[in-house]
Amino acid sequence: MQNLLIFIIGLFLIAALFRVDFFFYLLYVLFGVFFLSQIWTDRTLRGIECKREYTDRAFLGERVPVKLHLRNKNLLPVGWLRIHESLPIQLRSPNFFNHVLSLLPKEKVVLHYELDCRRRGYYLLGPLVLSSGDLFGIHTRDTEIPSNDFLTVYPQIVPLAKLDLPAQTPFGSIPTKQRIFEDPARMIGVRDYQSGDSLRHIHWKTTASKGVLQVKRFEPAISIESQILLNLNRSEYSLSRVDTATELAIVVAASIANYLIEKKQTVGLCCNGWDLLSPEPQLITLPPRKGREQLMNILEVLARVRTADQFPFSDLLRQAKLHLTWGGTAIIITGHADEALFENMLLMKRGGFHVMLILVDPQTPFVTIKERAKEVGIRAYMIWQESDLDVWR
Amino acid sequence: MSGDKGALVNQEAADPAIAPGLSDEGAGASAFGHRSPTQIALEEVIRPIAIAAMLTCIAISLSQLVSALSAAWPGEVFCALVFVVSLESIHSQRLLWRLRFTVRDSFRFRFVEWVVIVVLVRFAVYLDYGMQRLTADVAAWQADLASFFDPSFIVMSLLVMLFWWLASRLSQTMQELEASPAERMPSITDPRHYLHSTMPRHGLTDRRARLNQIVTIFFWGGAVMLLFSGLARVDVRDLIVLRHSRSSGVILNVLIYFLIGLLLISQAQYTNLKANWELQNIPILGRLGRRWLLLAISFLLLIALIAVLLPVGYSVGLMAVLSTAIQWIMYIILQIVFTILFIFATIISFFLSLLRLGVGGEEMPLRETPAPPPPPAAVAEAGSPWWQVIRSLIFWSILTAVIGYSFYRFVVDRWGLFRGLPKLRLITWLLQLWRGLRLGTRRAMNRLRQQIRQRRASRQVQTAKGPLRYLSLRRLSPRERVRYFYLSILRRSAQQGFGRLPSMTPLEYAAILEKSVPMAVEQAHELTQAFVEARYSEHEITKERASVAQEAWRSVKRALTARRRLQRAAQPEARPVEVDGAP
Repeated sequence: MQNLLIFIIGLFLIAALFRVDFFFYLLYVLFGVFFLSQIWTDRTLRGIECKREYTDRAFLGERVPVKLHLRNKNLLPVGWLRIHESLPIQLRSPNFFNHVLSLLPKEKVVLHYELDCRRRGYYLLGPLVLSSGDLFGIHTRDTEIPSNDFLTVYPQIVPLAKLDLPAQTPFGSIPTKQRIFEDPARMIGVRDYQSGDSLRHIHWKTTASKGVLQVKRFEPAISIESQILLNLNRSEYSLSRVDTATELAIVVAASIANYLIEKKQTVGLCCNGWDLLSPEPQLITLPPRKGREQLMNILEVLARVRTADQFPFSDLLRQAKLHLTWGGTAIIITGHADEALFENMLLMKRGGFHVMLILVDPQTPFVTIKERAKEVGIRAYMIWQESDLDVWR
Repeated sequence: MSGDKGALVNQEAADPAIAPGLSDEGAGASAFGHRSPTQIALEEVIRPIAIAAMLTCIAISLSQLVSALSAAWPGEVFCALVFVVSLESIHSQRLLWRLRFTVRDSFRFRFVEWVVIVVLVRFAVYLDYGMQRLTADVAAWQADLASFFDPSFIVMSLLVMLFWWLASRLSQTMQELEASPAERMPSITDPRHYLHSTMPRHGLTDRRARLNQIVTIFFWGGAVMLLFSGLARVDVRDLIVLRHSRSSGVILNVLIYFLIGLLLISQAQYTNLKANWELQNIPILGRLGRRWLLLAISFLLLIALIAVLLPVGYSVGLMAVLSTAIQWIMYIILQIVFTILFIFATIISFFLSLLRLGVGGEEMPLRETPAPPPPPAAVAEAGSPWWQVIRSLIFWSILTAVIGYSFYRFVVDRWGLFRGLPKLRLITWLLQLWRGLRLGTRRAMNRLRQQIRQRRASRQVQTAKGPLRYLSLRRLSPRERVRYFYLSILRRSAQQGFGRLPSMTPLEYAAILEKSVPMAVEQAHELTQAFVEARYSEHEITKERASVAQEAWRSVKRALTARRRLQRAAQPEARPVEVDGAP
């Protein structure tokens, strides 16, 4: 319809030449079609209001329904409106949502689509591209509505039943065979008094009924304060398995964190990956805390984190010591254990920490690594695939 | 409003991945091959009638023009023929499209069709001419078969053929806008996928080009129709000299043509977009087609209403001025031609007189030189002349805006064409010249402004000084008068070389003044006192006091004049001694 302008000029000449009033009327009509179409098209897109309604956090495997609210704020109707919502390929295939509709003045429309959370991550929904035009094909406009809507998909959590974590912190909630850590709040019975028993532990009521001094027996218990040290430095994984191994490492970290929080233990996270909320890669540190909130914090970080190669794992180990109290457990999740790592672990062990090593990408036979770990008094595990986590089920 | 009730639309029904085929307009592939009754009615009935009606509108204008030239032209029959033939053409085109005839069959189909149309054209005109003429003509054909193909029949047949072709072309283009199942990219596992992907434009129709074709036919048809309508309404002899009068009133066929044409273009755009959406599997939500039509009609009505309110005539005689200008130009050209012919004829007659060929011939009477055209007569308009002028102003303003905007958009839309221009040397030079001129003009303007400012400032200073130079003592107050007397004496004393220094007070200076004018010591003292009083006191200075000061001033002035004369008298005596060295 770009020829319309030439026609308008031609029409003016014809109208002026013949002096026919009706031709001028036609001239107005055609120019009005051109000019008002332009105004209409320009105003159409400015008056469209878009809003997404959805749950911004989801677990792996869940389906998240998204409601896309569209509202025409204008008093002018929208002849046609094409919406193109860009979506992450990990959540929807094909990775867009298209629709064509028309909107009357002040009309609201709700469009629905679903996201399939097939992979953990921190995803941007949108941007939404709106296209519209007039009814005669003279003007077409596109506008991109920037999005600030994100969806966090938590990593997979494998439920664990037992995890033999070495720890020495007394007054915890997990029973232990090391009887030196008895919890005075957990009385499991009485026994005869022996020389050296504290007078404060004498159970006077039983003593009175039995006539022999009886002392309280306490359940030995420990508190496992743990710090998960997750290596997400790409260069420290083998090239062929870096993506699989790092994802597996994240699953292991999430599962262990979940297990410990369920056991009401204190757990923290240190990681050398890149949290997408930070503008640039930096060491991620969540100090050990208890409770569901801490678990959600850890899971969110694990959902957002990406591999990076700025920080070597040794830097992370040094940083982690600052956040772990004496007797706590450092759960090291990394790809491969070399001699440098063993030296670091030995230093930690001598510093009073318990160390547990979980390898997801060993580049030498694991038996050798396990033997070496045993020598320095460290338990080592290899998780090659998710089913390997069954050892703790 | 509709936004409140029924606004929540469940898209799941429209999403082919969730519930295919439940969308109103059909989602993606579901639309291919299945047409709703509304769509059938639109494609098979409404659209052909619309195209035929548009072409008939052009035929009406053509008939009006031809009827003005030849009264025997069967205009009504011609228009009816155009309508019927257009409908037939569209129907045939759709039939051929659907049945997929072979070339031979198509040729046979078209031949038969044309024989029928020609016979129809031949005999339909007798609806206008009458049965008697038919009988007479049939008799004439029996005598001479060539008379069957008389010129009016051939002209009418050719015109009908033109309209037949236009109808067929429009219908075919409209049909090509629709999505075809053949355009759909087959699945990647389908053997036809490779074939499809290697086809030009991946087997897709160039819909934009088709849409442009429709628009072009519409505009050209409109332009031709307007020309016919215009020519049918004015006397061509008046038109040549631009002396024709205004014609007003609604031209119904033109109105119908543009109304249907714009709606058809709107529908073509909808078909084009819909086909693209269907091929991309984009679901269409709601009854977009119906809304589209309603909005297009409402939009056109709104514009038509606005246009009704605007002035369409003008009384400022642009045409009259143009006409006069053309007549003057013609007059001057004729005069020049006559002069050249006169000179040429004179030379020839001179040579002929030498050969004595011109002797005895009768002298031709001299033709009078045509008089120059009279000035344009004022256009007679009803109502107040001021109102006519205002209406004209509004009219020309709107028209100038419309045409200006059109040119502007035209250039802006094609800006890419002009981008390469700055690379040309001439254009670069012209641009530099233009920039230089702009810069020079700006500088000159700045300089001019500065000078004007300076002049104004100096004039203000002069105005401020003015009252001292051309002072009227009568207009001054007594206080100002006393101050003036004293300052006058100071000026005179300064001229004689014993002016008051800025550091001196009036009383300190009074001693010097009194010493300089021994003849008016008291008066100098009196004047100084009066000045001190007028300058520093707050009480009122009476007129009497000012008069006393004036008397004193006169005396001191006189004394100063006498002193100056004495000084001048003393100077010439000394000069010869200095110059000549003689006593």
